[in-house]
Amino acid sequence: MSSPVLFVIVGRNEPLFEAEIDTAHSSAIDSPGGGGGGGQQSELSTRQNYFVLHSALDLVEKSAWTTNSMYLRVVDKVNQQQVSTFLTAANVKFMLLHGGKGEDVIKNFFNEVYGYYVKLSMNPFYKYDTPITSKAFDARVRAAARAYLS
Amino acid sequence: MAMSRSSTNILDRPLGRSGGRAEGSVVSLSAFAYIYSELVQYHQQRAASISELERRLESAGYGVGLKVLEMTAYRAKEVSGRPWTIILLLDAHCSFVPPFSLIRHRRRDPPSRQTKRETRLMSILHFVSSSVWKSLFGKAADSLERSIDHADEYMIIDYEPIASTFVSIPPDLGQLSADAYVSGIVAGVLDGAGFTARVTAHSVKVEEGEYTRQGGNIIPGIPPRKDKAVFLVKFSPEVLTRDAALER
Amino acid sequence: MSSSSKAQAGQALWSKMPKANAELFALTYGSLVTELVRDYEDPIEVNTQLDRIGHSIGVRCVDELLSKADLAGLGASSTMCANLRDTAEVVAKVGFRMFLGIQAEVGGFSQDQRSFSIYLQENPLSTFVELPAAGDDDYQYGAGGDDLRKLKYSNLYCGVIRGALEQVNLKVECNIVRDTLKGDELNEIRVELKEVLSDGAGDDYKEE
Repeated sequence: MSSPVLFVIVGRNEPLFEAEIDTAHSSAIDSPGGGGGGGQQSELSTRQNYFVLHSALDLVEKSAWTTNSMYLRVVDKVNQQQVSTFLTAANVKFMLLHGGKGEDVIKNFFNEVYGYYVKLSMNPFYKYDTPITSKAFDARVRAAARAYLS
Repeated sequence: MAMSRSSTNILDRPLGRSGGRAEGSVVSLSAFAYIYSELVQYHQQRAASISELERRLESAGYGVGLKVLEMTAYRAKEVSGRPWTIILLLDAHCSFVPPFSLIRHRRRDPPSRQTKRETRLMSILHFVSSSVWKSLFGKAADSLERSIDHADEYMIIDYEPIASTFVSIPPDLGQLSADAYVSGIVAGVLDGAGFTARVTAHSVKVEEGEYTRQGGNIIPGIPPRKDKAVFLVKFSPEVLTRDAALER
Repeated sequence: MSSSSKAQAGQALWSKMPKANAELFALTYGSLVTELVRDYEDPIEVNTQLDRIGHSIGVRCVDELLSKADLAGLGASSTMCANLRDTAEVVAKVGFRMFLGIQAEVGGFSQDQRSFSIYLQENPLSTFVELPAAGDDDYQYGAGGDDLRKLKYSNLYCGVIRGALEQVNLKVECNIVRDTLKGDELNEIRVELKEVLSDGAGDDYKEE
């Protein structure tokens, strides 16, 4: 059974990118940039999700210096929700809120997104720690989520 | 899908191969020097003083450093081995005022395929003077030294820094401004990785017999410099505190 | 000199040139372009500035090309550039090769032989670049995403060619007409001869 996941990239102080992805869809039904569902219930759960992600940030800061791995695994659990995190070399945080996926598939997802992120960040027109507005990046992240997390 | 250009999008190509070139490819040093001296001139026209010009070049380098950090770390997952064993040695040739000790390093572990971040002060310094230097300048920095008197100060030394070796700098500007760009790159790498530091470039006269080129000519056709570039790295107190805490 | 001997000359010169990392080159140029975009905002004005900067490079690099070609015994500059076809070949096969290590092709001569194109498959200036797509939100450098589509990122080439040919008494106009950053399959620089300047080295220049 697939549940929606929430993927957020957080810079030094604020989110730079977010995508809510319903991994149950194998085709591209989500509207790029707009997130998954539109109903009231979905919005409520999204708000809860942000709360969970936000509180996990402190835990990420703590574990950041105790391991030299980029993949920090699950850093926080709230009810059924887990927060997995990946830290890039420049300490940009990739955070995935999910209902319990395997460590390996999450790691593969993060690694693929990292590749896209590095290519995006090499672009002279992309400045470090600024919001990511590239539609191509959004599409790649969603495709990667569906490929690995379904 | 709305991705009509998906097949040509840069995100779908190997890193740095948009023009079909492989990692590690080169252009002529002249071509780099032409572009770089235009960058210097452009900032010079807008700077009221040499120190402002240096700040502008440092700032240009800083943005490049942040990119280089991710690029180098991303690629390192294929080839790198960590951690390093650190041996501190005193070397008569490397005395600088205040005295610095030469740090030699040697790889201990077999290469791993994990993506790694640098979390310790010594490992980020080696990352900069070795991996970053190699990826940008084709060779490791000539030495990495630690201040004996100041625990927060390190020096990265390059006898033939690319940015100033071949770039014609107006005589009134001197060598300092040319190396400012590279010190900005170093600052960008360090700050991005969470090791905030003030990095300054210094031009220091090479003592007789201090340095001879390996194989005669590292960069054929380029006369040796009279000065070596010294990049002085002064870490912020929080960085040292954190690193000391990790030691325990 | 024939086209293939020029290609050989370009390769010979390239092999002797001291080298620099192509990515540092691309990032440094990127830093210059983004600085211009920030300072001038209007991408059309940025194109003009890139052309101006290129011109100042072209003036200097033609000297390097001619003196290194002479040193290598590749013939005097006058015989290398006997007519516009030869000149075009030298720009593409010798110039682009010796400075950037890339293969450039010449073609598309107009009927009156006064204009031609240089084709580049690879472009070391734009290695990491993706222009903001039409629908992307504004990038942080002054101009909006749609506006940046007017930016000719590699317009430096035009200035370089213009400046270099001016040194050998050829006044040309130069435009990027195809650009891989805009989705074209290759880069095409159109060069049009405007005037043969009549002093000095241009005296023995014959139009066909």
